[in-house]
Amino acid sequence: MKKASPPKLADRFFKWYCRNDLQESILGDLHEQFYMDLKQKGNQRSRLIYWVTVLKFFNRFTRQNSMQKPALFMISNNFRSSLRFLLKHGNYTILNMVGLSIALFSCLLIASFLQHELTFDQLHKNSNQIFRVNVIYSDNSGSQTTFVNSPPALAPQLPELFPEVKKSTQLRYALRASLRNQELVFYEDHGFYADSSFLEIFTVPLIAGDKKNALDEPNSIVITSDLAKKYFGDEDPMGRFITMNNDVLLRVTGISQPIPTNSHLKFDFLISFSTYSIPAGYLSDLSSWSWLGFLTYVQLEDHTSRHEFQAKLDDLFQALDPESESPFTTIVQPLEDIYLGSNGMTDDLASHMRSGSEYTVYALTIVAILILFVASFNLMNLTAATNLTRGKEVGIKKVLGADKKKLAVQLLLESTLITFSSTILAYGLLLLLFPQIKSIVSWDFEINPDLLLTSLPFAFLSALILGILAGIHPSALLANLKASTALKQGLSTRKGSNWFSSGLISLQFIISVSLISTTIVIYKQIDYMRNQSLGFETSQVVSMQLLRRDMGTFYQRLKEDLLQHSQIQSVSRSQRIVGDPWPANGVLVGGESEYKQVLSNQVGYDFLETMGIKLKMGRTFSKEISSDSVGSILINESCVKHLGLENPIGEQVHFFGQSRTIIGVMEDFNFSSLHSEIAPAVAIMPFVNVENLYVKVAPGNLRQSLELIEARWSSITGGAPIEMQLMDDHMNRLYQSEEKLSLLITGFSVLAVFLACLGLYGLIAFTVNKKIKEVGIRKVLGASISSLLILFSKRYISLIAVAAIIASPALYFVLNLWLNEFAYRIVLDLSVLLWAVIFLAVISLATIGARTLRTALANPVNALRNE
Amino acid sequence: MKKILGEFEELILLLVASQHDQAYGLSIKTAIEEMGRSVNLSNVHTTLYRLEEKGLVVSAMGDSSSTRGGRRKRHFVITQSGKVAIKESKESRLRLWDSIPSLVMEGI
Repeated sequence: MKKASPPKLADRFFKWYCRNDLQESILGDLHEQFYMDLKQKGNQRSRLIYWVTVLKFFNRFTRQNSMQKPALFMISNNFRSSLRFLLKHGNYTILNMVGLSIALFSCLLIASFLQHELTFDQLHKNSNQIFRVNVIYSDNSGSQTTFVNSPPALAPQLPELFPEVKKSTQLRYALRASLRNQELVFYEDHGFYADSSFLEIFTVPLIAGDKKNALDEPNSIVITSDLAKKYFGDEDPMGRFITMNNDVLLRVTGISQPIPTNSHLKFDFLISFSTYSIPAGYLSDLSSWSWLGFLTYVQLEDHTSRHEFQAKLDDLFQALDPESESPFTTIVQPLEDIYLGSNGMTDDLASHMRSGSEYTVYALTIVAILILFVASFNLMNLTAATNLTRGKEVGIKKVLGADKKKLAVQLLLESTLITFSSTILAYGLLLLLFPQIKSIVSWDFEINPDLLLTSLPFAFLSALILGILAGIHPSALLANLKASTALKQGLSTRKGSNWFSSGLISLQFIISVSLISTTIVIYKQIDYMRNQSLGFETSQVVSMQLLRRDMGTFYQRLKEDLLQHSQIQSVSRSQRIVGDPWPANGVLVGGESEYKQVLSNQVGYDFLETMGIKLKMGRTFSKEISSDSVGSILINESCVKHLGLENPIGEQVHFFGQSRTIIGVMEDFNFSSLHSEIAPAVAIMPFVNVENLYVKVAPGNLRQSLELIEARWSSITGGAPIEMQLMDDHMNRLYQSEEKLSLLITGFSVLAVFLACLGLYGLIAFTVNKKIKEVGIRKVLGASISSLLILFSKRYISLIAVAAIIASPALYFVLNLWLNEFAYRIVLDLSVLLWAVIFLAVISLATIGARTLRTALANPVNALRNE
Repeated sequence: MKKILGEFEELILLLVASQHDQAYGLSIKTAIEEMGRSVNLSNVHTTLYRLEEKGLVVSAMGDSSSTRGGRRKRHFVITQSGKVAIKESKESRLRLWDSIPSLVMEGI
């Protein structure tokens, strides 16, 4: 057996901290005690007691003398000399701090944006149990459309059919509705029909009312406190009545808190689902399994596999018609994925849900990291450069007995001081500028003060790391210097450190080139989309979304009235506004047995004229031919191909419960955005009261025309509200997310390039300062100013070239990936990169030139006289 | 300034006095544990150093033994002022004892 002995490590630790004169006697006592304990308590316990005792012995009597006083005095001394150094190099310090705080500010800004985007729908208590059932419709040609919607028969049956479904609920978008309390009447776009289980599944805190039954009774409405204020002011709205669409009387049974901005569902009011009645003219009812007009949400038991549940739902749809393969399959989408993960899905109701873009999230994360890189490289380069002048200072300190460690600590302290103060500045900037930036890029969230506080420790930790990273190289270099060398020749710029700074600068150039070319590509793509021929003309068209009821009652009269005025060219209407997604429906060509899916719209007379859509062949709907209103259909060119028709005119198709004759073929036009190809589409005459009104006005005085429309509408309806928008504005909004992205990327690219130039300027200024004599001598020997400029800038020009070569493959790949999102996209070529390089070269040369020229122009005598 | 002794200090001072010439850290610790009180070696040492700082004990290096790895002991001896201190504390205790009425302690 090995002989037990006191733990060696504990002894070493004790010897390390204990003063020499006490060591022997205490250690003796410790060992004696250990062997005494060993007999009674065994090895393990004795060792433990030994360790505890050694640790407890650490106090003011036993501590080494050198440890007795904390190096407070040295710290304050170091601090002072650091401050002096920073003030002496004030320009560089300010340069560093400005750059770093701008960079950190950008990162904080991006971080708060990302925080908002990535926490969508997490406010709901059961968010990880909640799923939305999306339905994929596949037609025979194999084309698939993913709907966020589902049929009305689904949700009510789910809890009975599947034990893993705790609760289910369905929503129906309430379209545009007018709400009225006595004299106050407004259009509201954000409302749903919902049942009480909605309030139980989702966390929607009610200020008043009982969430268990607030939405049970027909004709009940739950409104947000914002809406309550809008309609009732300071009065208590509970139990009061709101008239919807001048028709239905709703009793307020609940008031909810405003819905936070990080929720994909956006609503101001909820109407009890039992109030919902199917509009006249619809062919389906609430027992339908094929009417994709509702949103279904389920709350599943914990640990349910959503894929298994999804398979069961697919089986359910298949079981509806065992004979043939079901056109419907499902996607069970987790609630928290909805916001960022719903791109490419169709909302058949255009129900104003918030949806975000993963691209923006990725792009901004990368940009934040790049900016941080640029700023840290600046810090590293400038710290290294300025510290090279400190050879003498370090030499003297060494002669006076400063040791290596303390010198290094002092140098690290300086860079950390800069990063810390920049961090504080960055937070200040964020608080100061956030409101302005928010309104520029139309963000709808606020900074969360709690999160800001919790981010502080991380920010300072990163500042510390950054400071150490920036300072470690020069401080190690200086601290290891021999005192004699330091005093004799100072610190020479060694080859190694030159390579290091060249590396950092080329990395900065790579980042700059990438950001500039990305900006150029985004701009070009947006510009390309804007200038694409859409196949229709929106420049003089005004559109209004009105109530279906009002349209039914007043449309004919309004149209006749307006057309009497010379500045009104034509008037028409449609179910879905051009630009919003059109609903999908199946069309059956005569003689075939399978439905094919097309997008459809119900349009009034004169629709093609008003929107400037051209007819390829045939004719459009005509008032003279009475059969047009039910028995005719227009299709577009894509649809001709899709249906495989040779002679489309006169063909019979079955569509929307009706046999219809194709009377005309429209030229293809981009009725939704250029993200997607032109889909096969058809147009029929309205069979319900459609809600979008278009008026084409004569060129000229737009304001006058708008006033005329408003006045006529108002006099005909007796004061119903009206909101007009220019179709051009509406179409521009389709590219809003790209524009937002481009605005943000441009802003941050400019910042990054600016930061890189700032660093470059600092470095150049420093190099030039050191070479002031060299310049003087060269001038005396007859060097021209341009040759001097070339002397200083040739290094950087070659670095830019290297950067461009390194950056181009990755750039090409990433940008192509983004462009592939668009059906209509620009072709990437070298010119983008070339422009970016030229731009960067010009800016860099200007930066270098600005500093160099001053030295190059100066009288060489001044530089050489003082020795 | 009159030095006030803490309870633990007084105990250790008494033990130093009673183990005359032979008192060192571990011997005092053992003695305390024999009284049924558990104590850490470091507390004993620290108190001894404090008493030394107050001038109530003095220390000198003494003999060694094999279990100590040949390390010498630090012996503590009570000084004159140490003796005065324990005597004074004893007398003040006695005065207090005397002032207790006899009937209070009856039956113990």
